[in-house]
Amino acid sequence: MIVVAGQPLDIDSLTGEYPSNSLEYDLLRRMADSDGTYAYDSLSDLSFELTLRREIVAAARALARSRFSFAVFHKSRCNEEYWERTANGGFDLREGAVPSEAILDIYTNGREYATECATAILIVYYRALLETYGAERFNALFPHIYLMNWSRLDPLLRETGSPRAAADMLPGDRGYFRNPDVDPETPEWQGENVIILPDSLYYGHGIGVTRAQGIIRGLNAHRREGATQSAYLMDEVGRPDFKKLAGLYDEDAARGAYPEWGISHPRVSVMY
Amino acid sequence: MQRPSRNYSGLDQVRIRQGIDALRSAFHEIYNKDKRRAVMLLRDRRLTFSTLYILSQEIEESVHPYLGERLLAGLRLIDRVRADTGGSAQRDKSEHAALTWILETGYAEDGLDETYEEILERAVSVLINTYHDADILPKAADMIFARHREGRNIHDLTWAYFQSGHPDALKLIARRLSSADPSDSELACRLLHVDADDDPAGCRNAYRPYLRWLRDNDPYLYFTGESMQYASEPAYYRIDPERKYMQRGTPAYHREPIALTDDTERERLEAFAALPDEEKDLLAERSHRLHARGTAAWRRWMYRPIAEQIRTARAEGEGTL
Repeated sequence: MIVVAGQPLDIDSLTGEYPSNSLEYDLLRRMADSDGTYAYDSLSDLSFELTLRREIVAAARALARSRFSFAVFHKSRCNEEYWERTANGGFDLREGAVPSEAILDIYTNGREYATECATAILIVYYRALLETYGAERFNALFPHIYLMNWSRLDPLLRETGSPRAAADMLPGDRGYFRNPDVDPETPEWQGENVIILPDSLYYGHGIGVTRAQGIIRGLNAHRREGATQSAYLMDEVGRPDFKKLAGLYDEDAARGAYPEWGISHPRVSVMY
Repeated sequence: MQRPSRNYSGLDQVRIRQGIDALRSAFHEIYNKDKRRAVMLLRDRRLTFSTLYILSQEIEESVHPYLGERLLAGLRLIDRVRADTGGSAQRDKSEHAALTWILETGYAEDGLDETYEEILERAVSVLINTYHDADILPKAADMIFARHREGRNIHDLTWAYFQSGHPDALKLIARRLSSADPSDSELACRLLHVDADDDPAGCRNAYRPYLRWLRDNDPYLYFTGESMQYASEPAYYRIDPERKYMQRGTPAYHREPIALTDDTERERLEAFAALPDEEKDLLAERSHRLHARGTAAWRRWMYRPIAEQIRTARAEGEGTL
């Protein structure tokens, strides 16, 4: 069920906004049919979440198509023009580098980058936020970017590092396949962070876009001798705080509160 | 200039006195002139793994048959890490001994380079996951904290450490809560999920209360398998609230179902399992405290309807740790 401003939402009233074959329409339908409750203060908050989910899916597919490689943190690499590789294998935005350009460089110069799956998901989030907010706002909101597993997240993305049980696994959510019998010499295969895509597909860095069985097969191929347990998809998901992120968009869109961010071409169609 | 003791091999003495480049160059010269002597120097029982690692690229396969199992196991592990391949190693006592040697003689040089760090992580991981060797936990804990102080990678090392599922893993981390080094106490707080409001002083003061908490809850703890790959603040271990509520501790540190003795226990546990987490925690703590005071009162309480148990637990303000 979807609730907006305390009232159940009839999604038929929104069919004019989203074509029936769009990802947003599919999301609306699944949320409306869910046993869980998706509550929003306003239609614009709902619209923002649909847009950001769409962009997360698009950013995941684009990263899968790029030549961005898999490597363990000890062997990670990045384009030093934009990023400084830290002693623990993370990537720190270089002083003076433009955040939006640095994120886009990972997509355009993928062959210069390699890291693990958790960091790849972070990159997907940043790209999706860049597409949603536009470069100027994105650069103002994320002047310092650090890419390295979930341990030092930007406060605006903190919730993505805390998977929780959810009524549904929706496109744009972060899922996790756990591999309990992983080969102790390849701990990078202890699990796979994935972005949930439409049509029962998943994007996992190092494996690509595939069905659950494809991810499980990839993980099971890296189990210890005599393993008895298969890898499996956990029932918890990581999600950004859509409401918090929508507030950052709306505040400006509605009141022009942050003219220094200079949003001239907002990419979210706010519905009222 | 350092003066190494006589407990070091000749090659180690060169490394310690003159540095890595001098070691490589001296070994290179000996190796090219007299392979038999080079092999003899390598086979010195005092040789450290760090020296073997530094020289590994000089050592050709043709001399492998003369090196002995320990050195060969070390070289094979180095090769697997360099080639990014998984464990196809022979798993047996000789590998266990070789990995122990790698860690014992190699950990002092952790940080030599990133490949070396990865090799030591793999040694720790196999010793814990395959050989269930808890004796190495103190060294592994030292490595985690030393790396963290220097901003180096602890991602896989921490995973391997908690895979031990051993109670000492928590105690060894807890000792760092009271460390004078804020970096240590902050990491200990984070790994143990001690809530100190990001205050290093709060972490330091948490040492004794944490040990008390650990002693109280030890029979109900289990390790979750969570890691830094999964979450920002992985819960490496948790209390099993059902075991604590039923006062049925277990020496195993993995979650396993309680063996129920009769229908009454089954019904009680089913009612408990249907509660929200907050009420489960409340009742588990209340049950534990009552049981500690005396089993007769605890039994009477356990036979009360669950709604009444919740009411009394709330009324008495218990349930907080």
